[in-house]
Amino acid sequence: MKINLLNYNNPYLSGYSEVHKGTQSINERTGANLCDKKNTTRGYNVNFSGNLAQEASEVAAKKLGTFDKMLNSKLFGNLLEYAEAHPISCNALFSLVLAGILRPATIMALPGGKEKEKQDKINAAAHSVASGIIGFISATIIMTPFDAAMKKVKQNPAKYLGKKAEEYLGDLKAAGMVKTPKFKNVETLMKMGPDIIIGIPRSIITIALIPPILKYVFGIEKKPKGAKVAEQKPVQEVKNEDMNKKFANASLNSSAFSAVKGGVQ
Amino acid sequence: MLVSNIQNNRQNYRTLQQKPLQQNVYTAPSFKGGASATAGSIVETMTAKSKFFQPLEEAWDTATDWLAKNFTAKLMNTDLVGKFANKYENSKLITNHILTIGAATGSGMYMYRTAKIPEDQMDSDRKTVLMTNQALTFGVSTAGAYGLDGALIGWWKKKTNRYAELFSKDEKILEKMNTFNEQLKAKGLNKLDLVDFVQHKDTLPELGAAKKQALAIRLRGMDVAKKLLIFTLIYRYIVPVAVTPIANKLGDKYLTYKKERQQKLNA
Repeated sequence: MKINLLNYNNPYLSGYSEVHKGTQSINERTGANLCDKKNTTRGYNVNFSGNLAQEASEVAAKKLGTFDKMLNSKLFGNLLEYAEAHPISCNALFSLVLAGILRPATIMALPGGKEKEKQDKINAAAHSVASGIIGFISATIIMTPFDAAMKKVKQNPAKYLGKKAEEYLGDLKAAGMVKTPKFKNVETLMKMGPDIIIGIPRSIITIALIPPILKYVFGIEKKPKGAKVAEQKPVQEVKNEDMNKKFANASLNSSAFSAVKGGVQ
Repeated sequence: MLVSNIQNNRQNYRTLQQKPLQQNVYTAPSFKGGASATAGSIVETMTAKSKFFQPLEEAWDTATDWLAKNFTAKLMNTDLVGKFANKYENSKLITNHILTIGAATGSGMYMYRTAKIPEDQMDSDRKTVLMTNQALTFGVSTAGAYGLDGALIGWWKKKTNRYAELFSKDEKILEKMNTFNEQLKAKGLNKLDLVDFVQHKDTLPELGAAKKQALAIRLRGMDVAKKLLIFTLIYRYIVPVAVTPIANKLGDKYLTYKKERQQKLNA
């Protein structure tokens, strides 16, 4: 880019072209027209502002369709590796996207204009986001050690596995043993199976952590049913004490009674 | 800005018209700041093992090694896993089955919690309807997930093949696989699928071992990711957003109908 600017601004480096020898058109009289002349012999192309590899990759990218571009992206490649190495965590990641973005968006888009309905929708959306976040974090923390342990067994099966495993998997020292469908299915079981057992306590943890997440992240606090009564009582007692003091030495014609309008407050 | 610069230099440019064309060959400026050397040292520093994280890495290594010995390997050395491995030797639905068991556990938990709600908070009729709803929702959505997964096999296989072409930058990778499989067939050996073909030591030498390994991992990841996405989409999005509200409305209608019928019978 700097090279281009330098050369546009410095005509001594650009020379002249054959076009200017003849009658000049209005364009040529008012401008150098260097930008338009791609066939001018300068030893380099002033319009080119990248490198050859970049241009080649751009040309290749232009030939790809939208889905191909997605397939070819680095993010998609990393996601595939993640899904293969950490299936439960990847599952939680998909849940995070669905429960954290798509589901709240759908909930908020549903009809319901009343104040209570709006509040319910906000609560449901926040609940969904919180469960997605906690689910992803807990799944990743809990399942990553199991995935790492399975990777170690896969890298050196003879070190970890015994005779019983050898009976159904075959020779543990054979190079292709870990590539057999049988081993792959056992690997899937070992990576995803613990989640079935851990799933229940994980759900309990998720449910337990949702209220603090709602409170501190979204500012939504669910009041317990008895809270209203408990909060009101002390206020009433203070009021009564004040009233007792106020009415202690007052007669019925006193201005203190003007505040009393009868009935339950 | 660019045009105005050219305009300002027009006079100089016109004087140049009388001069012969100069041969301008661009020569790259030479940097003498030791940039490459600095970059090299930065890369070296970044890739070198950090002493700060070393104890943590060692702890992680010890912990996962312990887990590998005392959980993974122990479980793999049991008869139960042996039976599982023999029974589902060629199954391609293990991921689906495990996801379904996980979802069944969750649905079972909800049903159990519903059953345990005290009578003064929810009457038994409503509890029965709610539990039936939860069970039916799980059944219908699971069937839907298996169905969708099965329906997309062909389409996803095409996309997986395309991914292999794009990754290897070889449009003829499938042709190569077919040729290789014909050779195997002639020798009386079994055909290989794309993953096994990529992993085979005698195939795709131009890719190199590391890239072949990476491609095989990603191709397996394609299959896993598809299944995870389908099941998660159904269990975590379609069920709570679309299926559960409909099931609840149907349950309410059934309860209303039952109540009216009871009142008529009593009258």
